[in-house]
Amino acid sequence: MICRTRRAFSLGPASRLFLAAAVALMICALAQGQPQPKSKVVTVRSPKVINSRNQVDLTEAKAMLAAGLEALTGKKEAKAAWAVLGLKPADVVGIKINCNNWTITLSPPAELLQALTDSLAAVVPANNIIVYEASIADLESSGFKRNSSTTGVRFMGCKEGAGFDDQERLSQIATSTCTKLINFASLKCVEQGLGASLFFKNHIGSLVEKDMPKCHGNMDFLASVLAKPSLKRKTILNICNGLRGTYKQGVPWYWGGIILGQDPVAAEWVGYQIINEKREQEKTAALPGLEYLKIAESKYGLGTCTPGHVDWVKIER
Amino acid sequence: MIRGWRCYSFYSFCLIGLAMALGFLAEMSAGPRFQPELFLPKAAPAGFILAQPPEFYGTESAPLADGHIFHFIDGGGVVYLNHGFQSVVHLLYKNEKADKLTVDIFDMGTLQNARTAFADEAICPAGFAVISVGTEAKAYHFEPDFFIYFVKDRYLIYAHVADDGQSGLLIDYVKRIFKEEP
Repeated sequence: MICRTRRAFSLGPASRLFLAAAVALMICALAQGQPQPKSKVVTVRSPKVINSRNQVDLTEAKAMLAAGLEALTGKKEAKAAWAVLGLKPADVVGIKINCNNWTITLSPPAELLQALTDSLAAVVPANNIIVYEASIADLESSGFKRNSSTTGVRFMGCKEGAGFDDQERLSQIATSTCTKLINFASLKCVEQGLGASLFFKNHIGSLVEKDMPKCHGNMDFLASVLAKPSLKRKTILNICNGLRGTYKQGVPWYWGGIILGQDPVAAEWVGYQIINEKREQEKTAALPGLEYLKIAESKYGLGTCTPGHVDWVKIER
Repeated sequence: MIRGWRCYSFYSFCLIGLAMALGFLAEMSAGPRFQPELFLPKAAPAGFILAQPPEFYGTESAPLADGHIFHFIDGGGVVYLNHGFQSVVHLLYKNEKADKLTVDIFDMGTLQNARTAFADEAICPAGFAVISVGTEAKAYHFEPDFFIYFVKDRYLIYAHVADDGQSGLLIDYVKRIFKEEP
């Protein structure tokens, strides 16, 4: 009797195949019903961080960065927050900054950079942090001093020393010296069909010199910059200095904020929204379409610029 | 012995001559290092000195000693190229307090090009005050920055101080530049 019952519930090969297909279909249907995880981008603003003389408050800059990291990672302590982003004590972290002095100085203020390096120093030794730009001259033009010594945060230029990787056509600071990277851009509007100069253009200074001009007008090339294996694999954070930015070429305003995100496409899209919001206030037409961001999303899979897929967390201090 | 010494001297002389000739050729093939026709102000602003040698940038196809316009102003250079940009001289002055005063002289090829660049909002945005520096100039005050654009012959000239307390000094200097012969 028992045997008969068992036989009655046992399945033949065809039935098993049918059942497996049904289960697979159910799983697919469930997965499609699940909302896709959104790309989180955090903006932190404070009226206390910068005054109308372009002077920055270090304490407030540190507090803004801490608030941003917490919102991005869910961890209050810097050490834990950086761990979520993938930073390990033995890492060498490269911070690519944009020393932008023409016509309005948009280089990261020393205080904001210090807030970042102090926070990183909770995990890695200060000497394992390398702030770099295309050249030492660029760093010096923004008031940063070269330091290639074995103490303190290092400041290096791509042109001087490390050389370039032939395959990736990138500075070896990015490809070899550093194990993690932070893309530290500035909130800069260049117009002329190019829109804004944010995270994608920031790495122009990491490229071999011959490739730099390709970023101006060649949308596919610009979109591909952050798809270079070292930049894609090693970048743990995209952060934008928007304490003072430009909303039109050469026209600054004190936005008093920073943008943080792991998805460079989403973070860049947020940067555009911030600039366009200001342009709307000033009755200026919005910046042109985000052609290279769409290429970065669809062709290179670097993130998303689809509004519904971006989780924009706004913090006002 | 003497004969051997003479022979050695002769060959040394030849080698030195060859090295000099090769050095000269290398210098020539490195591209133009300076364009004599580029306009340079005769004197520094009062209380300031040149903080570094003048920098010269050309176009991608005709770079100068310090490279091309994208080395100088990155993507912002596109709009200048649209108006016939030829070259730019970048002058950085500093005073005792390390305050900076910048003058950039863009050779736009023709007076007409310089004027259309001056009229282009992507170069000289709205929000300026019109001042006279011997010619009509556009002055911008974005605290704490103060800068001026004006046209002189085929040149579009930009002058900037990061501390608006020195705006008077900048205007005086720009007036002096305007009076000078290119």
